Amino acid sequence: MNVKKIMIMPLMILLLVFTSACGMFSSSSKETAQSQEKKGNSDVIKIGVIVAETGPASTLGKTEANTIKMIQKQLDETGPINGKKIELVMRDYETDDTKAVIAMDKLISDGIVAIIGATQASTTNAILPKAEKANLPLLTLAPINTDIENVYNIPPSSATVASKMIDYLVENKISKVAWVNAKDAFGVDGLPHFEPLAKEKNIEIVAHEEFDATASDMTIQLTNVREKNPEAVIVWSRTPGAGIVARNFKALGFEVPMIQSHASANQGFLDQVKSNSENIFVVAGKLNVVTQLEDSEYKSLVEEYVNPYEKEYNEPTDFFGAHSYDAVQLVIKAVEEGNFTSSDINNYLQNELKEYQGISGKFDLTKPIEGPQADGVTVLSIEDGTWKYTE
Amino acid sequence: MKKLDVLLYGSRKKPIAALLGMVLVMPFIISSPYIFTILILIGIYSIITIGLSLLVGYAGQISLGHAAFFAIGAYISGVLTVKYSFSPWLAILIGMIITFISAFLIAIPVMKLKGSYLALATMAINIIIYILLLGLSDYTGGASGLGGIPPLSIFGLSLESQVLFYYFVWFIVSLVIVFSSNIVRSHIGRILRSIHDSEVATETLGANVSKYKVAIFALSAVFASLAGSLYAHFISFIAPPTFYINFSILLLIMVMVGGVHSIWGAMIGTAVMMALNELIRFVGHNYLNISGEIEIVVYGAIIVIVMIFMPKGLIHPISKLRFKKLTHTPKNETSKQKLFSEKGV
Repeated sequence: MNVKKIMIMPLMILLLVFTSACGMFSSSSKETAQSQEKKGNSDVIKIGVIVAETGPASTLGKTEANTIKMIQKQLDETGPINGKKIELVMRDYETDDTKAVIAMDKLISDGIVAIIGATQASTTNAILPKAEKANLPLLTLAPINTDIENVYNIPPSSATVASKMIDYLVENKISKVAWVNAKDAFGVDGLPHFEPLAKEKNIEIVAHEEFDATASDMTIQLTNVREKNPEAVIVWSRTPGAGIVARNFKALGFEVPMIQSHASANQGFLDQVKSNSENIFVVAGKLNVVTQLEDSEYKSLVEEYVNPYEKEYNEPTDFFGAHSYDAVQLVIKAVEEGNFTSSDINNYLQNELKEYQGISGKFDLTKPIEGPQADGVTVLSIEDGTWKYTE
Repeated sequence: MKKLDVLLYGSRKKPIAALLGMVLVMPFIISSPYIFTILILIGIYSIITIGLSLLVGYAGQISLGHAAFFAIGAYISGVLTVKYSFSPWLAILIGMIITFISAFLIAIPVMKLKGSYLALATMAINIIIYILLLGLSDYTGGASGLGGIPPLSIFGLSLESQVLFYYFVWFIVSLVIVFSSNIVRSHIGRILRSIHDSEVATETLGANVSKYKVAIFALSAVFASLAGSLYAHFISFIAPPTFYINFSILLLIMVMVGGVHSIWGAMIGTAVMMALNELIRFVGHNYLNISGEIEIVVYGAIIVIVMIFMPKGLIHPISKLRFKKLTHTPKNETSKQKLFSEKGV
């Protein structure tokens, strides 16, 4: 084989790949046209899911993705609902907004009737205009603020989580707090909700520090915080940043409690803090401590999700997985009641179902943007590397 | 016709006509919004990679920070239209002017650097802009991003429709190709190539090397700014992570894979990398049950293959095939290569 042939070969392979890609894309576009025509009449109901299974936000997105895969398996086992096979078409956007927008277009082309996602609030905002244009119900996995219709906040709003923190502070007679947050879309969302609630209860914010979400040391921020002598330090960040702050907090010898947001309520955070968990509290979903809850209807509901998940993946789930579980269950419920199109699903959720007890909390679907109430949320401490129910 | 010949240098007519023909026909073949989003993004990214090709391929100056200028364009368009209700067209123009001025000022010290120092300096520019985007949250929306950026409309016709926006973007790409290939064919292009080969030799010929280096850096930044504005008005939401260094690196990979010495190569590289990215995701997800950043592994493999077997990029064998077709007498390899170089494609 001469050199020319060797050089041409990879090119030919690439061209072949490119052509086959175009072929696949066009065939999918033809399918799209057909599926869109049949949307509602088809035997398959497609629900789109956009999650960050990989990339920096995968600390939250991984359990969401695992939950979706588990539900799909369960759906395949139980067979069609109301004569319809439910297909959860999941796309990993790799923590990249542009990829999420591309994925959204692909899902719309595939003829989905509802969209669940995305893992991050900023990404949810990026896909929002497309959901609105396609008139799709959007069930969010990160709380967002919008006046666009048909958006269902599945996670508790930042205000709901902040109110739980305030309750804890009031109960423990703490009136001076320091606020530390990551400088990313999630991190900057907490303080605007916490501040007015704190003011109402006469809780003063004596320090406010921010850190880069990818930073590996927050000692400087915590040192600045210590100078102000707060009675508690509140951290609003997702892992791994949240865990690093907790480790630095311990290393600097703080004696006041640290209260972390719900984005730290996962196994990754427990692994990071390990034995340095004294005085660290996390606002979490009650599912984290399901075995410690009293018997109730709510406990059975949570067990329906948690037990099969732990069996399937041999690891605990978290609040974020619960959001994707609630979101899918809401759409499945609509399909069970004979609603197969986007507008019928919207109509059913808001005008017929109205109320729904999810794992994330109790939903008032007539006000879908408000998200669930605080009943699914609690403040947990950490003991021997596991969550401890304190209420 | 003669004017068109002068504008397009004769030999450029056919590829541009072929490109426009393909662009025109595409909406009659496909209807999927997904494909159109990919094609629009290929168009938008091509505008940047063509500018990068002028800078890296012709002038021999590396940049690992072009996402910063992409960001400036996107954010000026976004902020002016969302917060100050400017006309999107005026915002795009202001974005390009501000980018030109800032890139020009940045380039004066930065273009004195060479090799890895230049690469690091441009990377630093990218990081500075990224931090500014996060920090100036009153204007940029900070980490939460900036939403509600209005779509473009032209003569009262909204470009919200994907097909119309697709046509518009590719019309702009065609203009950028014509403009860039004319630069390449002009005496400026020859000086740029001369700078690429030897700065000292070019200086001794009396050319003000730094002036040309600064100018081409600012011009390529303007292209990136234009692309950024188009991106902002197309996606309607922008957030800082889109404009981080990894995007700058991806742009450079696109140019290198396509052919760093060719503006057509830059475009082909962009299209191939985008298509490949989607193909990897499609195959990975549907057949191999893997998802995530597997494409990074494939990117790496492709770069190695291209660098070993086609150091001049994908465009090189394609051009050779085209040249064979045009002349039918491919006897003298040296003269062929000479002509290829003079054409500056």
